[in-house]
Amino acid sequence: MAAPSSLASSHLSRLADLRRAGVAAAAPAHPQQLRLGCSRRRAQRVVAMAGSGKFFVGGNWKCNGTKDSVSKLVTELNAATLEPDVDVVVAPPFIYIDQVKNSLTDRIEVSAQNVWIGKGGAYTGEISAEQLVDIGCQWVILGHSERRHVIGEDDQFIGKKAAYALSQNVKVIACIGELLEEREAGKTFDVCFKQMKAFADSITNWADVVIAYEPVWAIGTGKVATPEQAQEVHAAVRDWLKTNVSPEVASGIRIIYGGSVNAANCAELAKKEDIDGFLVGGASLKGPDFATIINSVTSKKVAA
Amino acid sequence: MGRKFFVGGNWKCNGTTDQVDKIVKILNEGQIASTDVVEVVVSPPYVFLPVVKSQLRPEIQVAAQNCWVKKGGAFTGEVSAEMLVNLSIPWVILGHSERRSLLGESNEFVGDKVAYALSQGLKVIACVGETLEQRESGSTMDVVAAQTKAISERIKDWTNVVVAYEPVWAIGTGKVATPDQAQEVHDGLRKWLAANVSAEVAESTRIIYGGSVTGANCKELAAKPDVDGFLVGGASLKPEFIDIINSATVKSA
Repeated sequence: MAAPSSLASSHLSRLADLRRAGVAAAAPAHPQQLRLGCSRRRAQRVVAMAGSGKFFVGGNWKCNGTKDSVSKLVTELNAATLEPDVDVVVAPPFIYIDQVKNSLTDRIEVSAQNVWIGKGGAYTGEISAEQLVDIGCQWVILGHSERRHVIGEDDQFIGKKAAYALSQNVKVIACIGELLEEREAGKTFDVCFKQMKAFADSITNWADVVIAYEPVWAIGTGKVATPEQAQEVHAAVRDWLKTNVSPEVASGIRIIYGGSVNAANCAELAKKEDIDGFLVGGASLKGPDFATIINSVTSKKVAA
Repeated sequence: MGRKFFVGGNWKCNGTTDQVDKIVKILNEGQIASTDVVEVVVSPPYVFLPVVKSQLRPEIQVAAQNCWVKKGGAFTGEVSAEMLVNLSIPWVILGHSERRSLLGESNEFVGDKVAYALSQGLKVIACVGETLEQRESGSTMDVVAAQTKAISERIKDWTNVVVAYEPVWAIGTGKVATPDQAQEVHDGLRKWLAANVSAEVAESTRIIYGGSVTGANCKELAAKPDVDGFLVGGASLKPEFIDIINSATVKSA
């Protein structure tokens, strides 16, 4: 099939270039800066908000919506006053991306909830990365726990999807997270690191990757994940990246929290040092609540 | 009454905004047989369904290439049957061989999808078909029967079902399916429906051919008594799709 629109591709490439410049600017200039204390690191992150350390809030609408409910939600989002220093992305179902792209403010970027593993062709029911670029979709969520555990996508399949999407200039929200039985067996980090390794084996340039930690163990199990538990995993993932990829990637990448986030708990979560934003589920379908979650970036600044 | 000829075009994972505009233009301007003679459905990727639906001439219907197995909710990446209904997309293709083989969809999963889609008011193109290995081991009818049984165990009303036979054994294997081979399976499948569902369902259900269909072979295939139309692949993206639609007139000749 034909290559994606050269205009869209070129535009996204330029965005990617700017982001890469941002990463370089934000990276520590000397090894000893890696030993900076916590408060200094937080201050540095605030200063670096113009780069890839910027707070990130994504809304995953999942398999929800009607033409009317989408229209109402878009109206609410368009009317909201959003803080400037936060990247905002919404992920409608495939079938509503056209409607959302045509009506949503361009302050908010659009993501797909999945994408095919390679070039388009004889793959009935799938959507390719080239098609996402063609329709103006900038992001894709990959490896979401519902696709891992309900659909049966394995780590390697997901890693290859991420590599292909990035190669087509689609930015990736890469999801990881462990089940309750895995957590209770003391395997939280083993599972998350294994999932991270599958991404790392496939990804060469992390500039356009955001990592989302989903505490699957607390989803629908009656357990509640505390901000401290979220922070613990985020810090461990960042350390893993530092050791297994590079210190530059570890410090520049956004690691966002994909557990239960709502207007009531977002400020507390945002204060955690290694929580760089959220991948919001049900609350992203409520315009005013989602706006409150987006604006919790101010809590990050207060904490710093 | 006789079975109305049915031509579905499965675009698969193809198309850009510009290409879609061109295809829709070809379809809108094409001279096609009347809706009394042929029912035409085209199936773009999800992301193009709204634009195709809004631009396509009303005589040609639109299908999704898949949908989720039950009510929508926490199923990231999926599109539910009720979403399709909400957008006035009347048809859905289910159980396509590419989803059975590449996405691991089982007979039971496909059967559940068909039942749920029908329950929400969608019409279904339900796909069945055997691989080369299965055909060469003499299992063609066993495989097709098992796939069809998984659907028939879950539904009562076949009014809104079209069955598509895909000779997977002849897709990308270098083998070519002849019209006689297509007819043999269609006849076997219709006999299976008569024996296992009812004579009425067997007589009224359209069984369409989902193998390689082109402008060159469509008329010969359409002439087969148990071939009630096509589920077209690559040719559905091309002007020759109009010729394939018009092969419907072979039935009334």
